[in-house]
Amino acid sequence: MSVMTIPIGPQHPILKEPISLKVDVVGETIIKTEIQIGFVHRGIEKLAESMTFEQIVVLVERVCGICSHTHTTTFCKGVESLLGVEIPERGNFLRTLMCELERIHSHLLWLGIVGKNIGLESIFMYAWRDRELVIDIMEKISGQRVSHGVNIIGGVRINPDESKIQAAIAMISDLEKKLMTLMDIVLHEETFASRTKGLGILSPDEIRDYGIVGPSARASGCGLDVRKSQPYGIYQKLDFKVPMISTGDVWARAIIRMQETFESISLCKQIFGQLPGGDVMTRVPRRVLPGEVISLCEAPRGELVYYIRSDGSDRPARMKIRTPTLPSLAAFPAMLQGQSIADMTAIVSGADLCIACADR
Amino acid sequence: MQLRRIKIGSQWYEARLAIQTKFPVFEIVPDQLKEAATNLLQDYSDAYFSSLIIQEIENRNEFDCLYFFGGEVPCVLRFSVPSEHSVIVSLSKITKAASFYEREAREMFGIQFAGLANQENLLLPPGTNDYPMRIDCSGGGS
Repeated sequence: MSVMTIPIGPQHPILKEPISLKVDVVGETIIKTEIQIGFVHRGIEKLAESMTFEQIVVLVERVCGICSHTHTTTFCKGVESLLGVEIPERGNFLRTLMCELERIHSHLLWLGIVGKNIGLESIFMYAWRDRELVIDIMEKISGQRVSHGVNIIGGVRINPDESKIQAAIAMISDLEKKLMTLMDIVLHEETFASRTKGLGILSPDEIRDYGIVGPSARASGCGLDVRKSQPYGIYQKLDFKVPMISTGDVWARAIIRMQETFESISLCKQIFGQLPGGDVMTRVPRRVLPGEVISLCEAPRGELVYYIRSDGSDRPARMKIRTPTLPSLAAFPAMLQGQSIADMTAIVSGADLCIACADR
Repeated sequence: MQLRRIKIGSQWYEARLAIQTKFPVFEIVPDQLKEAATNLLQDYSDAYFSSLIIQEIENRNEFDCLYFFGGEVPCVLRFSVPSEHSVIVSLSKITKAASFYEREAREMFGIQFAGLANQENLLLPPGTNDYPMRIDCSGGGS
C-alpha cells in the first residue's frame, strides 16, 4: 500500500490553535508525523529585554490566555528571588489560590475540548458549564475573568474582603458537587472509555526522554510535580496528593486531570480556611540586583521554567521561557505512531497543547 | 539539598551554587558536554533535559550556554562558546527533548549543532536570515 500524506492545519476544526501537521498514513495507520509551529510566535523574549521588570509582568500574562496567572507567578517569583524579598503571607496565599483556580479552569477547558472532539457533546457541555463557575470565582476574587492581573513583583494587587471570600467559598462547594457528576461520567461512561483507552500511549522512558513533566507525565506513571519537588507559594503548608496512573493513554490523562481538579478544590478550601490577614504586597526597588535565577512552577499543563538574568538595571538582560507544551509537542510523533487516523482527534486534543505558550 | 555529582573523564565534578546564581551549576568546557549530559542522565534516574538557555554576553563576543536538567535536584551544565562560527555537539541523540531547543537556538542565535537531524526553523518563517535574539539585532518594543 502506498504512503499518503495528509496535511492538517494550521487551520483545522480539531485544532484550537494553529499548528501544522503532516501525517503520513498507510491505509488508516499513521506511520510518521511532522510538526510545524511558530504561527503565533510573538518574540516575547526579545520584547522583554526592552521592558522594565514591572512592565514584563503584564507582558508575560499575555503569553497564554489559559495559564496567564502561572506565567506571572513564575516570573514574579524569580524576580523576587533576585531581589531577596519575601512577599507578605496573605499575598502568597492569594497567589497560590489563583494558581489552583487556574488549574481547575484549564483542566475543565481541556476535558470539554476532548469531549467535543470525540463526539461526546454532553461532556463538553458539563465541563464548560462548570468551568464557567471557576471563572466566576476568579472574577469574584480578582475582578477579571481571563487575564486576572493579580500578580505584581512583591505580592498581589488584590485584597478581597470577607464578603467576597465567603461568596467564593460557597461557589467552590457548589462546583465540587457539580464536578462529582462530571467525574462519574468520565469514569463510567463506556463511550468515553472506548474512544480514549489505549490511544496515544507514552511510556515512562519516553516521558523522561522528551522531558515531559505534569499531568500527562503523571498519567504515564512519572510522579514529579514541581509543587512537591521544588515547593513555592504556600504549598508546603498545604496537604495534597499527586494523583498518578500508569497506563499513559488519553483516558489516563483525563482521569488524572479530573483527580487533580478535586485536589485543587481541596487546596482552595484549605487556603480559604487558613487565609491570614495583613498586607498583600511589599514595596520593591525598580532596579534588580545583578544575578540570575531559574524559576519553576507547576502550570496546569506541567513544568513552567523562567530563566531571568539581571545586570543591575531595571530591565532583564535575558529572559527565557520554557513552557510545558514544548516537550509534549516534541512527543507528538511518538504518540501518533501506529495509531489509526480516525483516533487522531482524540490524541491531538488529549495531548493538552497550548500553542500560544509554545510559540511565545 | 544534596547537590549532584557527575564524572567526566576520570574526574568527579560537583555542582556549585554561586552567590549570584540561584541554581546549582556544573562549569564545563564545550567538549565535555556530551559526556556530562550522558552521565548525568544515566546516574540520576529522575533527571531529564528541561531546556537550553542561550544568551549573548555583551562585549565578550561569547554565547553563554546553559543546559538545564530538571528532576528532584535540578542543575545546569554551563559553558561559553565564541559568538561567531560556533558549533556545539547536539544532544538530540542522547535525549529527544533537545531537538526543539537546539533548533530554536540555531535560528535565534546562529549557533550550529553538529548531529542535529532537523535543521528547519522551529519558530521563525523559513528563510529568515537575521538572528533576532542577538544583541546587535534591534527588535522588540520602544
